[in-house]
Amino acid sequence: MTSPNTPQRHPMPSPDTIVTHTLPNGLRIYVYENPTVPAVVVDGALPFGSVYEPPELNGLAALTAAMLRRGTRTHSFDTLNETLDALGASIELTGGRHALDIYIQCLSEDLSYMLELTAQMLREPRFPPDEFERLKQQTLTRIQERYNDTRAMAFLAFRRLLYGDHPYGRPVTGEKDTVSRVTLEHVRAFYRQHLTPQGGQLVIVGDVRAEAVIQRVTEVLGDWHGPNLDTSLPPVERPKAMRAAHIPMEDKSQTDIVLGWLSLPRNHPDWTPLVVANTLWGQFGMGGRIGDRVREKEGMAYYAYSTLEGNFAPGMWAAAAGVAPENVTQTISILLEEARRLREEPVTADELEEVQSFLVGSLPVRLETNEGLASVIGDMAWYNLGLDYLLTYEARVRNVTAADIQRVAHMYMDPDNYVLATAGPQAEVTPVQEAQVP
Amino acid sequence: MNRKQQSIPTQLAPALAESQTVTRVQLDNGLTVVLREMHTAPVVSVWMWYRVGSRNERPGYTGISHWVEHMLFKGTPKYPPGSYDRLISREGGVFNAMTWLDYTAYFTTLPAAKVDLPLDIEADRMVNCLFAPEEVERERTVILSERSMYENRPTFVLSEEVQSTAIKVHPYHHETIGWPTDLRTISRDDLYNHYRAYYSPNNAVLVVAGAFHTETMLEKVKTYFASIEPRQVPQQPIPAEPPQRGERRVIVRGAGDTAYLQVAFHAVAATHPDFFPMVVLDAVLGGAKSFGGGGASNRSSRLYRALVMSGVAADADCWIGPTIDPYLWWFDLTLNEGQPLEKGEAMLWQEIERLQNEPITPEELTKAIKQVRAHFIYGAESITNQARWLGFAEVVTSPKWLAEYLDRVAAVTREEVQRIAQTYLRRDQATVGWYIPTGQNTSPIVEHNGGKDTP
Repeated sequence: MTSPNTPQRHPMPSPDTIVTHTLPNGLRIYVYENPTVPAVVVDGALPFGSVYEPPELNGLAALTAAMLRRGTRTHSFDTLNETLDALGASIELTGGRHALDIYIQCLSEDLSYMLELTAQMLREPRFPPDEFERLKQQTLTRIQERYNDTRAMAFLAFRRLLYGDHPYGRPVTGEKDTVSRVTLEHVRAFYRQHLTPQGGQLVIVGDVRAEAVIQRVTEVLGDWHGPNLDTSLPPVERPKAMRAAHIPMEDKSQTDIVLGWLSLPRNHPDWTPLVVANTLWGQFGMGGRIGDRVREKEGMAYYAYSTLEGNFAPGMWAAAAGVAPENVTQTISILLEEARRLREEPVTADELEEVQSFLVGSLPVRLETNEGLASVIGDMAWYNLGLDYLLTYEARVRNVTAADIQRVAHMYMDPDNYVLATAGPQAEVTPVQEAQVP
Repeated sequence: MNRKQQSIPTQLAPALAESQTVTRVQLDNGLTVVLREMHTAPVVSVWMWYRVGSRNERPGYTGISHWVEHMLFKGTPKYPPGSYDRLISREGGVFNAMTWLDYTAYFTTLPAAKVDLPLDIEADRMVNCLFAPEEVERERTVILSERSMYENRPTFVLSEEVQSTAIKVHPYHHETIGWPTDLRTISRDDLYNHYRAYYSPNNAVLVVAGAFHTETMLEKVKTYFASIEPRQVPQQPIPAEPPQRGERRVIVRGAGDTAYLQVAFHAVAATHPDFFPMVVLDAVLGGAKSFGGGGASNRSSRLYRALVMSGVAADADCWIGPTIDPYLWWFDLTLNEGQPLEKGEAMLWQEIERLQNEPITPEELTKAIKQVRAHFIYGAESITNQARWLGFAEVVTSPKWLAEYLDRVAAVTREEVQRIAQTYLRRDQATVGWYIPTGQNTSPIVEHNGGKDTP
């Protein structure tokens, strides 16, 4: 324990403090020792996901991932639940867009057993038919709930408009008709053809000894081999003109708006300037410039902010707000005005400095917990940002200039050709009609 | 199987129970100060708690505590509206505020070297908020919009009906956000008077947790807060809820294809001895939750096994939380398509009756206690959480209550759990709510300009 008068140094995750090891099957292991409390988080990712599923079976990857947790050769779903709950531990396997996400939380003393159980789920799933039927029913109920959720529907419609037929345009959970179509045979085949340690990673953070953990992972996963996965993706086409949609949901009290564009792949050189621009537009303080106008000045919304997402292919850059139907038109105008301002007016030195200080200064808060540490290390590894990413992060953020922000805003934010989705009660002037006015 | 049956060693319980690591003093003006020095990350978390929430509201003024919370970001002579957001963010901090039944709390977590900023802000806004009329009006529509966001969720609409039916007299009757009519009529002066009445050092608790030296921090805290004058805080009696004389039922109809069931029973105050067996029974039925929110897996719990494993429900949960006065013990089901509400409800009653008729197994008791313990440890890792727990306990229960929490949970017996089920989970003490979906918004109809590029 640290004595009260000698605060311990707080090392940053870096090539010096992250222990790495690659198994012969291609699985990479990253361990960061953090003995704060006797607990561990494992944050892993294997190449997998909805981008590899056929469009008519949208939701297949997510169902397959969830089925791994529903019984192994030696343990039924019920036994697994009983075992994990008795230890206050959890293992979650989730199918994402590009990955099978692995998340383990447990006390340090149970890690060895958790890794063994996780390995069984990945390597020897049982795929019980009764569990499959239950999972499908639960998934259908969740989708049904989504159809009645204005914010979820606005984002879903936005994604469809933005990406068209590209796999990024589909919801990871699937749709009612596509999920209904999936059979257990589809799941078994998808598992056989796609799940592989090659190119995957496990990030382990907490009160552990790196050497011992690496040895344990080697024991349980070292001799696992999967198929060769073709990870190529169809190119994403940038919309060349306005796209807009409204989802009528008459029973609702307010309308959700999502307006935006394509962003960039996560490892693009313009990523950092784009992060700074997005922070200005809709993140800093209470929702950046957007929050300042829509919420603070106009009092029109409880939430108004922007979000920036990057992946292997270009993600989305969008503003979102929930407002009364009669305020939809005005809110859209404000979002667009603030986009124009970002392109046309150089940001003042003060404002730029503020945003840079926020991005740099908030790092210790993000790294406060095992979960936060594991997620940051996981991103550095997954997107090949380099394990020294945090060491160079401050310089990269500080190097962004006012001109850089205008440049990326000009390149990636076109206030005349944008994608707009609204979901909620119909306004008197529909946003679609409004939006089509050039 | 059962490779793991050893218990989690007691010494792993978070250092919260070690009173020497927590310093607690009361300043002359009545402000309670709690300092938790911990050097796990170069971060501090500052929490300012006020003993005021929807519990202190009267009819016609519901939602006023939450609205005052919003106004505390809206300007003092020293800090103009919106300036905290900038000042805290530019130091890399995160901040927020929350209002609930028993309390209003404000927190900032930021790099340790910047701790003066939140201390100065909290001391200043305890007394100097302006409540400018134009800011009050702008915030009125923001809060109505916040309410609209909740109303868009079927489960909120249902729970508001169930809560206000289960509790008729005590101010826990209404949701913290308040009724829309009150949100339209509360005036600037109403808000200001509420603020002046409850925001004073003798009605507040300041918690600082993180990387600092306790003695230095205490001096710092005194510099900012010691000169604030105490004031008389209203001591109006809070009406007790009269006994319920029979089952109550409500039906809500709304959009969607999904049916929801909520059943609420009367719980006890957090300081009542029956609270701890209730926590254990809640964990057996619906899985343990971390203290102050956040759920564990509940997939080996009785409700999950009975209702989800049978395919009747997509989700089955229950919730009980520590409150000053008796609030509610909630049971929630999300029904799968084609599964009638009657069936879900009947199965829920079956599970409850089973608990009344026979004690839980020794294994279930052990598991529930272990889960509660493990979630304490996970939560203890975060400095922000530790500060939150300490302040919450001061306002809602007592430091002793928090220090003894794990031991009191561990001391619960199977017989006590059975008695709790028999005493509190009675049909004549239940309020049952059904959300019947009308079938609107049942598919993703996207009306758009073809999804194609238009000129």
